[in-house]
Amino acid sequence: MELINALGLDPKILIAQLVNFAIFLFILYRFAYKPILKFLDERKEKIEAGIRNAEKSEQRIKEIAEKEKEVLVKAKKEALEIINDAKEKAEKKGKDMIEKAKVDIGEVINQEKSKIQVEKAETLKAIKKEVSSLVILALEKLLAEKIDSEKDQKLIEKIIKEKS
Amino acid sequence: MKLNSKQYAQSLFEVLIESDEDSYNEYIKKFAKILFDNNQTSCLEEIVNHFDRLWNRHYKIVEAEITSAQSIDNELREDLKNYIAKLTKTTEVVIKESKDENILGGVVLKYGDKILDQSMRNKLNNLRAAMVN
Repeated sequence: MELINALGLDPKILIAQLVNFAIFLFILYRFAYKPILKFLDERKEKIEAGIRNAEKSEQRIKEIAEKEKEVLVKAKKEALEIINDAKEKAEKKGKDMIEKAKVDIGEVINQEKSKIQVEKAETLKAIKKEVSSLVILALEKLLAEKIDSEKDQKLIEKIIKEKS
Repeated sequence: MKLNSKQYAQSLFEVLIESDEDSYNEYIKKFAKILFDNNQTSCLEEIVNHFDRLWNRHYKIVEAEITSAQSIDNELREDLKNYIAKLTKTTEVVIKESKDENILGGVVLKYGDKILDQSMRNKLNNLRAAMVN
Protein backbone atom coordinates (compact mmCIF):
# COMPACT_ATOMS: atom_id res chain seq x y z
CA MET A 1 0.00 0.00 0.00
CA GLU A 2 2.79 2.19 0.92
CA LEU A 3 4.41 1.41 -2.32
CA ILE A 4 1.23 2.29 -4.25
CA ASN A 5 1.03 5.41 -2.27
CA ALA A 6 4.70 6.09 -2.83
CA LEU A 7 4.11 5.82 -6.53
CA GLY A 8 1.35 8.29 -6.28
CA LEU A 9 -1.34 5.87 -7.30
CA ASP A 10 -4.77 5.85 -5.98
CA PRO A 11 -5.78 2.21 -5.18
CA LYS A 12 -9.35 2.85 -6.01
CA ILE A 13 -8.50 4.29 -9.31
CA LEU A 14 -6.14 1.46 -9.82
CA ILE A 15 -8.81 -1.10 -9.08
CA ALA A 16 -11.22 0.74 -11.30
CA GLN A 17 -8.62 0.81 -14.03
CA LEU A 18 -8.02 -2.90 -13.51
CA VAL A 19 -11.70 -3.60 -13.72
CA ASN A 20 -11.87 -1.42 -16.77
CA PHE A 21 -8.96 -3.23 -18.24
CA ALA A 22 -10.54 -6.58 -17.47
CA ILE A 23 -13.76 -5.46 -19.08
CA PHE A 24 -11.78 -4.16 -22.02
CA LEU A 25 -9.95 -7.47 -22.28
CA PHE A 26 -13.21 -9.40 -22.07
CA ILE A 27 -14.78 -7.25 -24.78
CA LEU A 28 -11.67 -7.48 -26.87
CA TYR A 29 -11.55 -11.24 -26.49
CA ARG A 30 -15.25 -11.65 -27.05
CA PHE A 31 -15.81 -9.40 -30.02
CA ALA A 32 -12.44 -9.00 -31.73
CA TYR A 33 -9.84 -11.59 -30.83
CA LYS A 34 -12.16 -14.63 -31.11
CA PRO A 35 -13.65 -13.74 -34.51
CA ILE A 36 -10.19 -12.83 -35.79
CA LEU A 37 -8.82 -16.18 -34.62
CA LYS A 38 -11.83 -17.93 -36.08
CA PHE A 39 -11.34 -16.05 -39.31
CA LEU A 40 -7.64 -16.90 -39.31
CA ASP A 41 -8.37 -20.59 -38.62
CA GLU A 42 -10.91 -20.67 -41.41
CA ARG A 43 -8.50 -18.86 -43.66
CA LYS A 44 -5.77 -21.33 -42.73
CA GLU A 45 -8.11 -24.23 -43.32
CA LYS A 46 -9.11 -22.79 -46.69
CA ILE A 47 -5.47 -22.30 -47.70
CA GLU A 48 -4.60 -25.80 -46.58
CA ALA A 49 -7.61 -27.18 -48.49
CA GLY A 50 -6.54 -25.09 -51.48
CA ILE A 51 -3.04 -26.51 -51.25
CA ARG A 52 -4.44 -30.05 -50.90
CA ASN A 53 -6.73 -29.46 -53.87
CA ALA A 54 -3.87 -28.03 -55.85
CA GLU A 55 -1.76 -31.09 -55.03
CA LYS A 56 -4.66 -33.36 -55.90
CA SER A 57 -5.23 -31.45 -59.11
CA GLU A 58 -1.57 -31.66 -59.93
CA GLN A 59 -1.65 -35.40 -59.24
CA ARG A 60 -4.83 -35.71 -61.28
CA ILE A 61 -3.29 -33.72 -64.12
CA LYS A 62 -0.26 -36.02 -64.01
CA GLU A 63 -2.52 -39.09 -64.03
CA ILE A 64 -4.56 -37.68 -66.88
CA ALA A 65 -1.40 -36.86 -68.79
CA GLU A 66 -0.11 -40.39 -68.24
CA LYS A 67 -3.46 -41.83 -69.17
CA GLU A 68 -3.53 -39.64 -72.24
CA LYS A 69 -0.06 -40.82 -73.07
CA GLU A 70 -1.15 -44.42 -72.60
CA VAL A 71 -4.28 -43.88 -74.66
CA LEU A 72 -2.21 -42.18 -77.32
CA VAL A 73 0.28 -45.05 -77.40
CA LYS A 74 -2.55 -47.57 -77.45
CA ALA A 75 -4.35 -45.63 -80.18
CA LYS A 76 -1.11 -45.38 -82.13
CA LYS A 77 -0.56 -49.12 -81.73
CA GLU A 78 -4.13 -49.88 -82.75
CA ALA A 79 -3.91 -47.52 -85.69
CA LEU A 80 -0.67 -49.19 -86.73
CA GLU A 81 -2.30 -52.61 -86.39
CA ILE A 82 -5.29 -51.44 -88.40
CA ILE A 83 -3.00 -50.03 -91.07
CA ASN A 84 -0.93 -53.21 -91.16
CA ASP A 85 -4.04 -55.36 -91.19
CA ALA A 86 -5.54 -53.28 -93.99
CA LYS A 87 -2.23 -53.44 -95.83
CA GLU A 88 -2.08 -57.22 -95.44
CA LYS A 89 -5.70 -57.59 -96.50
CA ALA A 90 -5.13 -55.34 -99.50
CA GLU A 91 -2.01 -57.31 -100.44
CA LYS A 92 -3.89 -60.61 -100.00
CA LYS A 93 -6.80 -59.30 -102.00
CA GLY A 94 -4.42 -58.10 -104.67
CA LYS A 95 -2.70 -61.49 -104.77
CA ASP A 96 -6.06 -63.30 -104.83
CA MET A 97 -7.23 -61.10 -107.66
CA ILE A 98 -4.04 -61.79 -109.60
CA GLU A 99 -4.40 -65.54 -108.94
CA LYS A 100 -8.05 -65.50 -109.96
CA ALA A 101 -7.19 -63.52 -113.07
CA LYS A 102 -4.46 -66.07 -113.85
CA VAL A 103 -6.91 -68.96 -113.37
CA ASP A 104 -9.55 -67.21 -115.45
CA ILE A 105 -7.07 -66.50 -118.21
CA GLY A 106 -5.90 -70.12 -118.04
CA GLU A 107 -9.46 -71.34 -118.33
CA VAL A 108 -10.17 -69.07 -121.27
CA ILE A 109 -6.97 -70.25 -122.96
CA ASN A 110 -7.87 -73.90 -122.32
CA GLN A 111 -11.40 -73.37 -123.58
CA GLU A 112 -10.08 -71.69 -126.70
CA LYS A 113 -7.53 -74.48 -127.14
CA SER A 114 -10.26 -77.11 -126.79
CA LYS A 115 -12.43 -75.18 -129.20
CA ILE A 116 -9.61 -74.97 -131.72
CA GLN A 117 -8.89 -78.68 -131.28
CA VAL A 118 -12.55 -79.58 -131.76
CA GLU A 119 -12.75 -77.35 -134.83
CA LYS A 120 -9.51 -78.84 -136.12
CA ALA A 121 -10.80 -82.37 -135.55
CA GLU A 122 -14.09 -81.52 -137.25
CA THR A 123 -12.30 -79.97 -140.20
CA LEU A 124 -9.98 -82.98 -140.43
CA LYS A 125 -12.96 -85.32 -140.23
CA ALA A 126 -14.76 -83.38 -142.96
CA ILE A 127 -11.65 -83.49 -145.15
CA LYS A 128 -11.22 -87.22 -144.49
CA LYS A 129 -14.88 -87.78 -145.29
CA GLU A 130 -14.58 -85.81 -148.49
CA VAL A 131 -11.37 -87.55 -149.53
CA SER A 132 -12.76 -90.98 -148.63
CA SER A 133 -15.93 -90.26 -150.63
CA LEU A 134 -13.82 -89.30 -153.64
CA VAL A 135 -11.60 -92.38 -153.26
CA ILE A 136 -14.61 -94.68 -152.82
CA LEU A 137 -16.33 -93.10 -155.79
CA ALA A 138 -13.25 -93.62 -157.94
CA LEU A 139 -12.89 -97.21 -156.73
CA GLU A 140 -16.57 -97.92 -157.36
CA LYS A 141 -16.21 -96.65 -160.91
CA LEU A 142 -13.02 -98.65 -161.41
CA LEU A 143 -14.53 -101.85 -159.96
CA ALA A 144 -17.71 -101.44 -162.04
CA GLU A 145 -15.57 -101.15 -165.15
CA LYS A 146 -13.01 -103.84 -164.36
CA ILE A 147 -15.00 -106.60 -162.66
CA ASP A 148 -16.72 -108.71 -165.29
CA SER A 149 -18.53 -111.99 -164.74
CA GLU A 150 -15.40 -114.11 -164.99
CA LYS A 151 -13.41 -111.96 -162.58
CA ASP A 152 -16.31 -111.91 -160.17
CA GLN A 153 -16.55 -115.72 -160.19
CA LYS A 154 -12.81 -115.97 -159.52
CA LEU A 155 -13.15 -113.44 -156.72
CA ILE A 156 -15.93 -115.46 -155.08
CA GLU A 157 -13.91 -118.67 -155.48
CA LYS A 158 -10.98 -116.94 -153.81
CA ILE A 159 -13.21 -115.82 -150.94
CA ILE A 160 -14.45 -119.38 -150.43
CA LYS A 161 -10.89 -120.74 -150.44
CA GLU A 162 -9.69 -118.10 -148.00
CA LYS A 163 -12.57 -118.68 -145.62
CA SER A 164 -12.55 -122.47 -145.82
CA MET B 1 -59.54 -123.63 -127.64
CA LYS B 2 -57.78 -122.25 -130.69
CA LEU B 3 -54.09 -122.96 -131.23
CA ASN B 4 -51.53 -120.33 -132.23
CA SER B 5 -49.33 -120.51 -135.35
CA LYS B 6 -46.42 -122.10 -133.50
CA GLN B 7 -48.63 -124.80 -131.96
CA TYR B 8 -50.22 -125.56 -135.36
CA ALA B 9 -46.78 -125.87 -136.98
CA GLN B 10 -45.53 -128.10 -134.16
CA SER B 11 -48.61 -130.36 -134.41
CA LEU B 12 -48.35 -130.71 -138.20
CA PHE B 13 -44.63 -131.39 -137.94
CA GLU B 14 -45.10 -134.12 -135.33
CA VAL B 15 -47.80 -135.79 -137.43
CA LEU B 16 -45.84 -135.68 -140.69
CA ILE B 17 -42.57 -136.80 -139.15
CA GLU B 18 -44.16 -139.99 -137.89
CA SER B 19 -46.03 -140.83 -141.10
CA ASP B 20 -44.83 -141.96 -144.51
CA GLU B 21 -44.56 -139.63 -147.49
CA ASP B 22 -47.63 -141.14 -149.22
CA SER B 23 -49.94 -139.94 -146.51
CA TYR B 24 -48.53 -136.37 -146.41
CA ASN B 25 -51.20 -135.05 -148.82
CA GLU B 26 -53.99 -136.53 -146.77
CA TYR B 27 -52.71 -134.99 -143.51
CA ILE B 28 -52.12 -131.64 -145.15
CA LYS B 29 -55.67 -131.60 -146.50
CA LYS B 30 -57.01 -132.41 -143.03
CA PHE B 31 -54.85 -129.70 -141.55
CA ALA B 32 -56.12 -127.16 -144.08
CA LYS B 33 -59.69 -128.11 -143.22
CA ILE B 34 -59.06 -127.58 -139.51
CA LEU B 35 -57.60 -124.17 -140.24
CA PHE B 36 -60.56 -123.31 -142.43
CA ASP B 37 -63.08 -124.54 -139.83
CA ASN B 38 -61.33 -122.54 -137.12
CA ASN B 39 -61.29 -119.53 -139.41
CA GLN B 40 -57.49 -119.21 -139.04
CA THR B 41 -56.37 -119.34 -142.66
CA SER B 42 -54.79 -115.89 -142.19
CA CYS B 43 -52.16 -117.56 -139.99
CA LEU B 44 -51.05 -119.84 -142.79
CA GLU B 45 -47.92 -117.87 -143.69
CA GLU B 46 -46.70 -117.82 -140.09
CA ILE B 47 -47.49 -121.52 -139.70
CA VAL B 48 -45.52 -122.36 -142.84
CA ASN B 49 -42.55 -120.35 -141.59
CA HIS B 50 -42.57 -122.11 -138.22
CA PHE B 51 -43.02 -125.46 -139.93
CA ASP B 52 -40.08 -124.78 -142.26
CA ARG B 53 -37.85 -124.00 -139.32
CA LEU B 54 -38.86 -127.22 -137.52
CA TRP B 55 -38.51 -129.33 -140.65
CA ASN B 56 -35.15 -127.86 -141.61
CA ARG B 57 -33.82 -128.25 -138.09
CA HIS B 58 -34.92 -131.88 -138.00
CA TYR B 59 -33.41 -132.80 -141.37
CA LYS B 60 -30.45 -130.45 -140.98
CA ILE B 61 -31.47 -128.41 -143.97
CA VAL B 62 -30.31 -124.82 -144.31
CA GLU B 63 -31.97 -122.22 -146.47
CA ALA B 64 -29.50 -119.75 -147.80
CA GLU B 65 -29.67 -116.69 -149.97
CA ILE B 66 -26.77 -115.92 -152.28
CA THR B 67 -26.53 -112.37 -153.57
CA SER B 68 -23.99 -111.54 -156.26
CA ALA B 69 -23.42 -108.74 -158.74
CA GLN B 70 -23.13 -111.16 -161.70
CA SER B 71 -24.73 -114.52 -162.47
CA ILE B 72 -22.82 -117.47 -161.05
CA ASP B 73 -22.17 -120.77 -162.83
CA ASN B 74 -23.12 -124.23 -161.55
CA GLU B 75 -19.69 -125.13 -160.34
CA LEU B 76 -19.44 -122.01 -158.22
CA ARG B 77 -23.01 -122.54 -157.01
CA GLU B 78 -22.04 -126.00 -155.77
CA ASP B 79 -18.90 -124.63 -154.17
CA LEU B 80 -20.98 -122.05 -152.35
CA LYS B 81 -23.50 -124.70 -151.22
CA ASN B 82 -20.67 -126.85 -149.88
CA TYR B 83 -19.15 -123.85 -148.20
CA ILE B 84 -22.44 -122.99 -146.48
CA ALA B 85 -22.96 -126.64 -145.50
CA LYS B 86 -19.53 -126.59 -143.91
CA LEU B 87 -20.23 -123.35 -142.10
CA THR B 88 -23.59 -124.53 -140.79
CA LYS B 89 -22.52 -128.16 -140.24
CA THR B 90 -25.52 -129.39 -142.22
CA THR B 91 -25.94 -131.88 -145.03
CA GLU B 92 -28.38 -130.08 -147.27
CA VAL B 93 -28.41 -126.47 -148.34
CA VAL B 94 -31.33 -124.99 -150.21
CA ILE B 95 -30.29 -121.84 -151.97
CA LYS B 96 -32.05 -118.86 -153.32
CA GLU B 97 -30.12 -116.62 -155.67
CA SER B 98 -30.48 -112.93 -156.26
CA LYS B 99 -28.58 -110.37 -158.29
CA ASP B 100 -27.64 -106.96 -157.01
CA GLU B 101 -25.25 -104.91 -159.13
CA ASN B 102 -24.91 -102.44 -156.31
CA ILE B 103 -22.67 -104.84 -154.40
CA LEU B 104 -20.14 -104.43 -157.28
CA GLY B 105 -18.56 -107.85 -156.82
CA GLY B 106 -18.05 -110.71 -154.40
CA VAL B 107 -20.93 -112.34 -152.62
CA VAL B 108 -23.35 -111.88 -149.72
CA LEU B 109 -24.51 -115.06 -148.00
CA LYS B 110 -27.56 -115.12 -145.75
CA TYR B 111 -28.31 -118.30 -143.84
CA GLY B 112 -30.29 -118.83 -140.69
CA ASP B 113 -30.02 -115.58 -138.81
CA LYS B 114 -26.51 -114.86 -140.10
CA ILE B 115 -25.19 -112.65 -142.89
CA LEU B 116 -21.73 -113.13 -144.34
CA ASP B 117 -21.05 -110.06 -146.41
CA GLN B 118 -18.03 -110.61 -148.65
CA SER B 119 -19.08 -108.07 -151.24
CA MET B 120 -16.88 -105.36 -152.72
CA ARG B 121 -19.48 -102.85 -151.53
CA ASN B 122 -18.92 -103.99 -147.94
CA LYS B 123 -15.16 -103.80 -148.40
CA LEU B 124 -15.51 -100.28 -149.76
CA ASN B 125 -17.73 -99.33 -146.82
CA ASN B 126 -15.14 -100.71 -144.40
CA LEU B 127 -12.44 -98.80 -146.24
CA ARG B 128 -14.50 -95.61 -146.02
CA ALA B 129 -15.02 -96.11 -142.27
CA ALA B 130 -11.30 -96.75 -141.78
CA MET B 131 -10.39 -93.65 -143.75
CA VAL B 132 -12.80 -91.40 -141.87
CA ASN B 133 -11.77 -92.69 -138.45
